[in-house]
Amino acid sequence: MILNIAIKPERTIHMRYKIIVLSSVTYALKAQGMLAREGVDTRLEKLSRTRTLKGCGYGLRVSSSNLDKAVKLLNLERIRIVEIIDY
Amino acid sequence: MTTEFGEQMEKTIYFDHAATSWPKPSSVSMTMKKAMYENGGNPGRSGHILSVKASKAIYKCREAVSDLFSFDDPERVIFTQNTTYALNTAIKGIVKQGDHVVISNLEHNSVLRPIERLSQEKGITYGTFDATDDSDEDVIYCLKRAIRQNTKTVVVTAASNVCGKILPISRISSECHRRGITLIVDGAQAGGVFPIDFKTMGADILCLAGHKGLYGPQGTGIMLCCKSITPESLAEGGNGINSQDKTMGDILPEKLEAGTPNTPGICGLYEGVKYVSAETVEEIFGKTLLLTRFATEALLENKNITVYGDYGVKAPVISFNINSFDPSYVSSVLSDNGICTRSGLHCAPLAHMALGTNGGTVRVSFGHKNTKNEIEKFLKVVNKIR
Repeated sequence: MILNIAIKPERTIHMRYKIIVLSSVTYALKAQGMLAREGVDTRLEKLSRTRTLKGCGYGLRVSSSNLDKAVKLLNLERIRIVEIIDY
Repeated sequence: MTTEFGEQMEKTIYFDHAATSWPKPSSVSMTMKKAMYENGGNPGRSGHILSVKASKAIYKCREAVSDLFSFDDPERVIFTQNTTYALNTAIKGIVKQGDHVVISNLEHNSVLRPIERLSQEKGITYGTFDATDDSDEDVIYCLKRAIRQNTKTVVVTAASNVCGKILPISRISSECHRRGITLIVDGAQAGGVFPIDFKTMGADILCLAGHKGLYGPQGTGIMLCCKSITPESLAEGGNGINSQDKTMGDILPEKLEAGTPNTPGICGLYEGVKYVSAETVEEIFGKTLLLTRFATEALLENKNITVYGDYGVKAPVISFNINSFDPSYVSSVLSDNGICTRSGLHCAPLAHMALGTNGGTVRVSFGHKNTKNEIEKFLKVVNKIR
């Protein structure tokens, strides 16, 4: 769904993304490096509140179209996914 | 050479690499300076660009350290202030009340003192074994004799900071693991000095100095933690994750990295590790071993000199005394001639007792950029002291 691009362009773009929440910034960076090598672009995001985190944490913003591939690769590498959230 | 601080350093002969390496590659200080600006955010705390860049720089260093030591898990590379802090974390985070611990008689105070404190406050017991013998067989024999039914942990140095003796760590590891004993290795004099493959070595935890053989800045240390062991934290505080949890959690490295890390230092350490990787540890060790042999043989030609621990293959460290001269006096004379050495007990009283140094030595320790010519100048001064 495309929202009002002229007024809230950033928010509109974000609607197309998911965030894969990881255990820590270190695991997020490990995952990001691995996904980049496999051609999956992500962006590191600081998170303050999610369903499962007990406070602060980090995740990787990934496009919805790449989510399945990213999840599969992370599982193969045994990098624990804490949660997947909408952004 | 004139440094950026205007000091004339070209005549300085630096033989104190076992204390800290000098000079560092220029890339180390340049990168540290740059990091304070470009990676100036607090890593793992925020989502803005400066914080993210700092986090990425630190992770890059974890990866570089992992590559150098054939270690599979960058997330289990923990940064500390120094080897002492890493060893304290490992020892106090693993050894429990009632445990028996075995250490070698070449250990530094960074091993002896935490163990002694645990014995006074937690009721642990400990024993030492003789690791000074040239024969690995004899060292292993002594280790086996020191191990008891309730021995839970063995803590040993990979190489002595007093005499350079290299311990047979992979054999010690086999003896430990056969009995379900955890092995903690003090690699302060080993990392970047001679080749180490973490898997072949077989240590459960390896503690390293960032500022010695790895050519990073002072204030950097490293702990490599195998997958099966996660020590309890030594310090608690913020670590950027799960802030509502009243404990440090169980996720490495954050569990053991309370508080803001030394980002500029770790960025400098990355450059040091990169430098060592490019030079190759094999090449560095080969060069320093030749210098060590050359200096040892020359010192032994002087009948007034005693060299302690003359091993064929050793870390580039030589301890000696000239007759009954106070080692501090000898070191002071050398310093007056522009030669940097270290005298005293080198924070390793057990080793001095084991080697029979009678209360101290003069220690020279080489880096791969030292030369035979420098050693010849050193010998000229030493041979005049009589």
